[in-house]
Amino acid sequence: MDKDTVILLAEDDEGHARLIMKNLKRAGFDNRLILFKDGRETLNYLFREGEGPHRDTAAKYILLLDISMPKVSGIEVLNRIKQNDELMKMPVIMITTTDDPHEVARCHKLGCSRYIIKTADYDKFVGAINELGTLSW
Amino acid sequence: MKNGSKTEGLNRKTLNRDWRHRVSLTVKMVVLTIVTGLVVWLVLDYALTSKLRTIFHSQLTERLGHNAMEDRLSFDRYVKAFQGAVKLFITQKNFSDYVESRKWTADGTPRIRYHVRSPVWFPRRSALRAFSQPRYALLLDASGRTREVYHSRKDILPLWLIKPAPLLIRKSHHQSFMTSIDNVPYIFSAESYFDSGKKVKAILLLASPIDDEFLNASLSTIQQGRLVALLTSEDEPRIMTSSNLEELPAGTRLNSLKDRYLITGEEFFDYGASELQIKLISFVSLDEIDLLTASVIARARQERAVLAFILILTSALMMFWITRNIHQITRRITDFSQHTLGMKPQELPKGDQLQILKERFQSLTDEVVKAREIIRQQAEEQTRLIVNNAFDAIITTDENGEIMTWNPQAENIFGLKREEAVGQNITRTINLPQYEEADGNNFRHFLDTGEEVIFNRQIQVTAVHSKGYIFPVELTISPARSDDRYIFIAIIRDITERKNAEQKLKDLNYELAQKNRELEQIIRITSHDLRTPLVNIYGFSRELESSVDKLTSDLRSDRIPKDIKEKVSLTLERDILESLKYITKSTSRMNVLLNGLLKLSRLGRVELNIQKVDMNNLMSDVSGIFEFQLKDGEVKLDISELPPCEGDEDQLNQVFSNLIGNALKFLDTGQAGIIEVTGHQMDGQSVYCVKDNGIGIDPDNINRIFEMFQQIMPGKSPGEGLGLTIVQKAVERHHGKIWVESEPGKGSRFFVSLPG
Repeated sequence: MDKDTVILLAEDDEGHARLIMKNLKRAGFDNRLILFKDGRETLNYLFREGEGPHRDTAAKYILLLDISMPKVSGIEVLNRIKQNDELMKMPVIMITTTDDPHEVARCHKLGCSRYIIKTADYDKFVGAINELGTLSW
Repeated sequence: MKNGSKTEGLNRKTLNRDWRHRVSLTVKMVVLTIVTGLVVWLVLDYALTSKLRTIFHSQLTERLGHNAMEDRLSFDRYVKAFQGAVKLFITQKNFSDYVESRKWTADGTPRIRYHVRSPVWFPRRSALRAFSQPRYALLLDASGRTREVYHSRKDILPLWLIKPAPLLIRKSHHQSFMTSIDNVPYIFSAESYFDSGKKVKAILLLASPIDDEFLNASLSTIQQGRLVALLTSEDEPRIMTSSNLEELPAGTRLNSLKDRYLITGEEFFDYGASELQIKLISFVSLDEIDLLTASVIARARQERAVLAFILILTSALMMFWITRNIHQITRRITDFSQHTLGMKPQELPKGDQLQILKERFQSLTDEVVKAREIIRQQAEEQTRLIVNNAFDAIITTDENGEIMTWNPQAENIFGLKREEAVGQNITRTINLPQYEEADGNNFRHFLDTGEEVIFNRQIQVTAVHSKGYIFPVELTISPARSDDRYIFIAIIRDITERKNAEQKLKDLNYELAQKNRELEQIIRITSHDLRTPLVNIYGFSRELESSVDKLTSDLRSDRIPKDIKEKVSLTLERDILESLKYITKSTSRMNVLLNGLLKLSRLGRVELNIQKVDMNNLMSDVSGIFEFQLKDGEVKLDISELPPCEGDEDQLNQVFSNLIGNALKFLDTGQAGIIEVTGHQMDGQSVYCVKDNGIGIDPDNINRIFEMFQQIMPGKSPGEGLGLTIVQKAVERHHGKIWVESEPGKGSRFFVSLPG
């Protein structure tokens, strides 16, 4: 991930968000980070709808997406993204607590690039975040 | 009175019957044969005998005729020979010499010389035998005066013979002259002897009385013994002389003999100038004929008797053989009726076997008819019992759907009494109107084409009760062929209750499924929702840990006084880190539990992919998973040949992984661990056994190991304590069973049975 890529984080739980941000920083990702509290905000930003900040069409983004979010769920967001010609190219990493294989399979089918499980196995979680750097976009 | 006589009549009849029956068939046949034989014989005898007699008679007569002819020829020859003899005698040298030597004179009365023994001039007696033996021979001189007389016997000679008349002499010349003198027939023959001067010198005269001797002599040897006689030539012929004067005395009238004798040959001899006309007739005594006939007939009778005897014997033997066979047949019939028909055993009476057979056969047919009737009745009774006591309604209809029978249960189910139902059309009584047409068509379709659309299958329809309400029934209609027509048998069961129960069950199941889904959802949501704060707790605890690390490293700065450094680091290192340690441990544990719960909830939802599973492959996969741990703990995993089973491969993998994992967890550290996996098939199930030689399970705990969150030894190993619960749930979802046998200190055996 290059320094210019903007990291979008859609996560409703504050604690989780803080943990992710801390770990990103610790992993060395200094990129600009935008936080969304629910699916609606995320969509508004990405699709440049409604109130609030809008996406910059020129910039490069990577989206860390939590499945369970109020207003609009992560799955729905993923779905909409992948249906949009412009946005479908954007890498989406699902970060979620559920490890239900069905959900995992569904996300992969929809086209997420990665699936990270937030567990209390913190080391694993951290490790997965670190690997984000190795991904080639 | 009437009864008495009737019984008496019957008794007599029975008696008569008995008598006829008591006699054996063989005996009857033999008697019959004998009687028939006798009758035939007598008839034949009579016919044959008279015929024989006639034949005999004619044969005899013919033969007699021949004989008579022979006799006459013989006589004739003899008579002629008489003359021939005299001729011959004259030519004899003895005669000529003698005569020549005689000096007979014509005067005086010559003295007659009598000879008893053959004189010189006459052949010897022995030689005479070849010729007719004349009784008398007279040598006469030329004047016809008797000179010498030879008479073969000493008897008194009649005068006319001693001095024969010249007429006699003359008539006797050159022929056999027969005449009767004093009622005694004689035969004469004479020849004159001529001397050298052709002058008669002597005359030889032979004479014999024609008596029985003469007759007998005239007959040749073969004719000896025949009865011949010479008859006088009167109107009423009499016997002059015969060959056997005792039987046929002279003078007997011929007519008187005609009943006692067969008489032939009545012919006159023509002897030229003979004054005597004699007949030679042959007699055969009728008695003799009778004797002969009788002997022949007797012979014939004998032969016939022998033949008859043989026939009777043969017939008797055959009858005996036939009788035996009849007896055997009768016995077989008796056995049959005893053993197969179950009738009372009966002794076979002795007597006329054919009659007995007839009777037995008759009673057999009666018994068979009876037995058949009994069977039919029993079958009917059985059917009636079944139909009347059946729990289902049994209704039969004819080809048009018209009800023929209606059992008690049909009355119950449809609320229609038998009397009301019989005769009605079935579709109209128990069907809803909209089905009438369809069903009618179905019946017709079948009758026309033989195709069964609704028949011989269980179908559920709605029926109408007589009270008007409708209810569900299960029915089967089977067509059956009876003679030429079809009848339809409908078996109907009221399934109202069943339907209700089914519905209830369905509702309950639905509710249950609902509840299950709710529960699962609760678990899922709860565990998921619980996870979220847990992540925070854990995460931030670790943050705290790293913050403590940071502080610790910051403390190393020289600018902080030593005693403060010590105090702070103590609090940091000991208190804070320790507290954090407990927090992280507990949350970790909570996480594990939550994960387990999640897994458990998911188990119910995941669809099973049931296939035939090769357990050998599966176990080699499982042993692959534990390869490292096995090597590390120096545990031997021994997997035998396993039978296949039906199930979801993933789930079964989970099951056996759990079991192996458990076995590894509870090893006995004191000895080398051995885990054995075996399996066999039994009653369509595949039963597997995971056996270990670990520490075993306490009898107190053995019932609880499958319960949720049970850990026998918490802390000894990581895990939620859900492992066996998950295994049990999975096995049960496969419709299998799991159970355990264990002995503390020796080891445990986990058995899993799955559909094979």
